[in-house]
Amino acid sequence: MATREAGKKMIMLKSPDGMEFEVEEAVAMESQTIRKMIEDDCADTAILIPNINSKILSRVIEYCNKHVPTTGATGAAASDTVAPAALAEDLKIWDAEFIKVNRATRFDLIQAASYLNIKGLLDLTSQTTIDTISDNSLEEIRSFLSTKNDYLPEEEQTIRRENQWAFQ
Amino acid sequence: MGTAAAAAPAGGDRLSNLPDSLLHSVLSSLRSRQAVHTSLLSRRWRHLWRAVPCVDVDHRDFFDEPQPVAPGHGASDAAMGAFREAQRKRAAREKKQWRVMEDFADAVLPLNGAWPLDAYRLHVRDDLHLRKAMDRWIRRGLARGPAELGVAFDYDHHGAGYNSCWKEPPAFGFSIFDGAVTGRLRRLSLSGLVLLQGFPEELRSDCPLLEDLRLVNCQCITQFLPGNRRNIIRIGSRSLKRLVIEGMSSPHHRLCLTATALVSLNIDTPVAVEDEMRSLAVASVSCHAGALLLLKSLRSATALELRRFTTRALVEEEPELFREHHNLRTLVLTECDIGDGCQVVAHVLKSIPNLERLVLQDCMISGSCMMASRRGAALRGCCENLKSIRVKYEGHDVVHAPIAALRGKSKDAVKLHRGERPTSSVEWHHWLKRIALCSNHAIHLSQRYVASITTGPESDEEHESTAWKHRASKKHARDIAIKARRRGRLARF
Repeated sequence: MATREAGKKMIMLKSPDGMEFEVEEAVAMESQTIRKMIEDDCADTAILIPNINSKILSRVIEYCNKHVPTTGATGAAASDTVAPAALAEDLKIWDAEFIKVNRATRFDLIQAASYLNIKGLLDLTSQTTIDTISDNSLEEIRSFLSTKNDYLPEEEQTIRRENQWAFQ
Repeated sequence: MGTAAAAAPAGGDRLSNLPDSLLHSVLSSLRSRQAVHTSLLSRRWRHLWRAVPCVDVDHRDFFDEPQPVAPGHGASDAAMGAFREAQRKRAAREKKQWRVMEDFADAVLPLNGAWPLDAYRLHVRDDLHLRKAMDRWIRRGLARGPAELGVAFDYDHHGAGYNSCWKEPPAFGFSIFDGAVTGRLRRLSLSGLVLLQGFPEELRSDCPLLEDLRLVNCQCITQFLPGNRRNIIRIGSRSLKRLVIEGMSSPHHRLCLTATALVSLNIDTPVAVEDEMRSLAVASVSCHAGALLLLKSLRSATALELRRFTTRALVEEEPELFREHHNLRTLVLTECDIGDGCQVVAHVLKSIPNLERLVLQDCMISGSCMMASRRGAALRGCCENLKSIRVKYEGHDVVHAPIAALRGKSKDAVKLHRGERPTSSVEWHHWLKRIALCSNHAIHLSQRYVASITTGPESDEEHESTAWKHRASKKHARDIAIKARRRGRLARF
């Protein structure tokens, strides 16, 4: 319960486009990056998040708000949500709704999750990306990612030969 | 690469433009075979998979053919012949497939793999040839000091088919793998394996960082003891935080938990608790002999799930069971009998003073007990903190009864919403009537409340987040003009 009592302390997060978000310390500490800043006393007034715009930052905070452990679990386990299956399921449904965003936003979220070091969000965004590309043919993945195939045909053959064990 | 990205349409290949380290973490969620296949996407992707700190070898990537369906008794000779032919062909194809898989696994798990792995997952099905290779793959994976290790073996109990080995599942233990590096291990998940005798001891001594342990359908090898004495197997370590044990019961041994730092426990096997688990927060327990004793030692839990308990066990065997659960805020009853008059609900509400949320999942209104006569008035004045009772069938909310509604000043009439009828045999409105009877408060449920299930705030946190979102959207609106001007500039990047 310690987090809850101490958690009322508020932290100001600033995005580069000048917006300010006031969040509970416990919520902000879902991000390992911010947690370290707070623990090292580098965050007395406001924390500037240099490379995440306000739109993405607000989504990230929304995620953290939802995932901050309410059970008062030990600090180290902050990123792992501990809940019985029934409740974890609710969270999963919420996650599935949360991640229904366009691709550009999702990639922004990946970047943000990585910078802020929020493991749960990074896993969620990566997994969603992976779900959309796995079990598809190369061409489908390429068109999905709008990647251009810049291999020469013979190069492609070489790669297939090099890694024959994976392509048979 | 920069020019290619600029040429792409807006929102083009953003994924490829992410830094390597991020793509590695994205590729980590992919199984290894698919990860290698991404090398063909474009030059950018050619070598990315090589540095992915995860290896995930799964038989499902190689064997996808279902077993041919055997014709029933009395089938014609022609049908039997066709079946045998199909089986033979499948066996021939499988022979090739296991070669492919073996080749693949050996290639992604080189003997001299340089960097430590973040995760190593191996999923193998019961097959004589794969079984031979499995030890090797586990050894090589362990040698690279994974932080997360998952080994699953789909043990074929029926032993059908030529390729089944008619033997026990493969054995697992750290000691038989020389050069094993277990010092980094944080998460371990084993399924369908035989645990060697020294394994529990090794967990305690050799895995100083282990936090997550999941043992599903594993067997333990134990010494033979004369008489009816049973071996005691101590599972746990000082660092262990989360533990899942499923399907490990055996007449030959008794399980004993020694995990003082445990935070979360999920267990369906009889188990004794040796040390008090003071930090335990979440537990999920299935009904089994001795489960009530186990529940007693979980008194620090804040959330508890009980599965398949009977009315008798919950209400009568230990009437004082929940008295010491002062921290308990959330109780989930899954597939329990809650009594033909909802006695369990009444009992639980009465004996857990601080309960905030009660969830009833796929519960049956069956099972009688002596308490039936006492339902009603006794509930007044208790469960002051209760915020919601939630009823679910097959994953769907039936009625999310906000406790305000239970306590509401509304008349005796029980109004019910008939929109979301569960497919389950239990009639939920019947159900609620009974809860209403128990609590002596009228239930007023209408469309409004059903709407609040899906959209409304259900807890403080959520409420705050809604309010916060509202504030943020206001701010957002203020800044939108500035952003609109910038957008033209940003789009070029």
